[in-house]
Amino acid sequence: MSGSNRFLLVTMGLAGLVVALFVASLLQGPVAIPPGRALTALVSNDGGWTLVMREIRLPRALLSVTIGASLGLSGAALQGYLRNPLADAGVLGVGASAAFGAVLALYTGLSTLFPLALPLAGLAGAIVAVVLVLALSGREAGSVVLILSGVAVAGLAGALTSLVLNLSPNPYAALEIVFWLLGSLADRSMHHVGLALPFMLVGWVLLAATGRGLDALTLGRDTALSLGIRMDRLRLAVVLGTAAAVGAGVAVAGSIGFVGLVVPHLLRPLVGNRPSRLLLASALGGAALLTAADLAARLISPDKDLKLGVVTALVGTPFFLALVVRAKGRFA
Amino acid sequence: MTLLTARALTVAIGGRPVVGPLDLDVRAGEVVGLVGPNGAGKSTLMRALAGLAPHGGEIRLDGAPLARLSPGARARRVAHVAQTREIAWGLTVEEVVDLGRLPHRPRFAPRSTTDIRAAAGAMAAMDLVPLAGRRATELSGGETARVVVARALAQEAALLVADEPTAGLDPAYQIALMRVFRRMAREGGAVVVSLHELGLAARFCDRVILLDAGRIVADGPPEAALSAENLAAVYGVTAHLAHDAGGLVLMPTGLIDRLGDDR
Repeated sequence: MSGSNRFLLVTMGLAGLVVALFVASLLQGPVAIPPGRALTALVSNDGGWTLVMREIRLPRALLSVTIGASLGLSGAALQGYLRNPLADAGVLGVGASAAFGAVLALYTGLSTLFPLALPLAGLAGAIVAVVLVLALSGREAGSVVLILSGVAVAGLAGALTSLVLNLSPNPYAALEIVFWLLGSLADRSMHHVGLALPFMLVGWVLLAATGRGLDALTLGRDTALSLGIRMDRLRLAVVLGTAAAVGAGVAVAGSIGFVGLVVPHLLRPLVGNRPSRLLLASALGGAALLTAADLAARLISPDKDLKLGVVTALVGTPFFLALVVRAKGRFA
Repeated sequence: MTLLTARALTVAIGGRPVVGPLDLDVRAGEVVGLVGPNGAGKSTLMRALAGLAPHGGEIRLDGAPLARLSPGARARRVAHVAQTREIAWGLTVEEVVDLGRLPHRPRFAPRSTTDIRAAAGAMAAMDLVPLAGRRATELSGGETARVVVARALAQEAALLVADEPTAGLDPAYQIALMRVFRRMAREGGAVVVSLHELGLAARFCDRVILLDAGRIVADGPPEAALSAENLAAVYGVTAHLAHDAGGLVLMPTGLIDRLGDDR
């Protein structure tokens, strides 16, 4: 099939893009380090520069690639599972709940006790969200019940986050929470990577295994069943995979929107619309987009700490609108 | 040889009994027509026979309880064509037909030569070769009908359960489709097909099961199951019945009014 050749080409192109952006991200920072020296400082000891590379730039580049991949992959899996191009991790309420968990850690001062309390609370929020969504939607639920359960959980988490902001003792505490919510990769350490990566890996494995079921599901629930797909397992893999991958990402970086929604849209026609092929492509595309956005945020205003979530939303929205206008005829 | 047996079979939807209790057998080498008025429970019965709906009583496939087969093993032996023809996203006709090979393919494995041959055979049988590269979402209703049947044929299951596969097909493709089913039976498989075109059931099925309100009213050769009395009792229609060299000819002709006004 010529389709599989094109898929290979698209995948390799995206992989190349991710590597290039990863390296560019490593080379960008307030301290000017010559590119060659910067990369060697990463692997061999070069005093202060090694410290900068390993402790500041590497975690940032690693997080942008892995969180971007998680957002893209889960967006593709959810759009395939719900057979709805409007889905992303947001419909499960995972992001909102992880954010609420983290906000609670900020509010209670738990995050000042030890640095990883913040991401850990975020992860706890994601886990609670998933348990709630699965319990609310039941075993045999169709996609509408799943979406409604997710919307309910997201709504509750959003309301609770607002309540915490409302009850903040002073404007500075509120500002700290708001800034965290905007999403950023600044000042993250390898501890953050070590905390988030295992969850993301579990999520990726779960989501990568859904390709076959998602392909069968293009022909409807009954046909997928008749092709031997276990629908309950498929749903569990999509929900748990999203919770682990995206929950871990939000826990360390805050809310980052639009990547999970836009990337699968953009790449779907390039991989011939096949859900299983879209998974890998969207993971790579998400990694590339988020790394590029983080790079852009740092290049545009190096001294202002422009928040990553703001950049992805600002770039993503017009882009998404353009896609919708172009595709208007196709979603009749 | 009996391929599938159902005993004391009941199927409920949302707690409401819809089908049964009923007994039926499907033997290898036969095309069984399932007919009955709207709402008789044909689709529900077929979903149960294909192992897609929970049921009471017992269904055995080759002697083994259907409910206890793993989904993968069941999918290699029973194919199902759903009445609603759903195709999401924009897969090509060839890709849709190839999905029928999923149960035969290990996870992440590429298409085997058997897969390619089976899919090509199914596409040729349904006259889809000229449409192979077209998006399945951009086809006409009749073309889509052929694609979903080809997808099930590619599955190469011993039992094919097809729910109104002829709906939306022109007469030529209706006859061609029934001939494909006949060929499948001749090669040792079995087909259970629900039909509203009673003429097709009369002419191309070895056996016809007449279903009404979830119960079997008649089960036998077309001449016996589709008798004028049965048609009057179940559908409330009069029919012209005749024989020619090719078999039974059946044409519904009028409604039987409860007041006896036959028009």
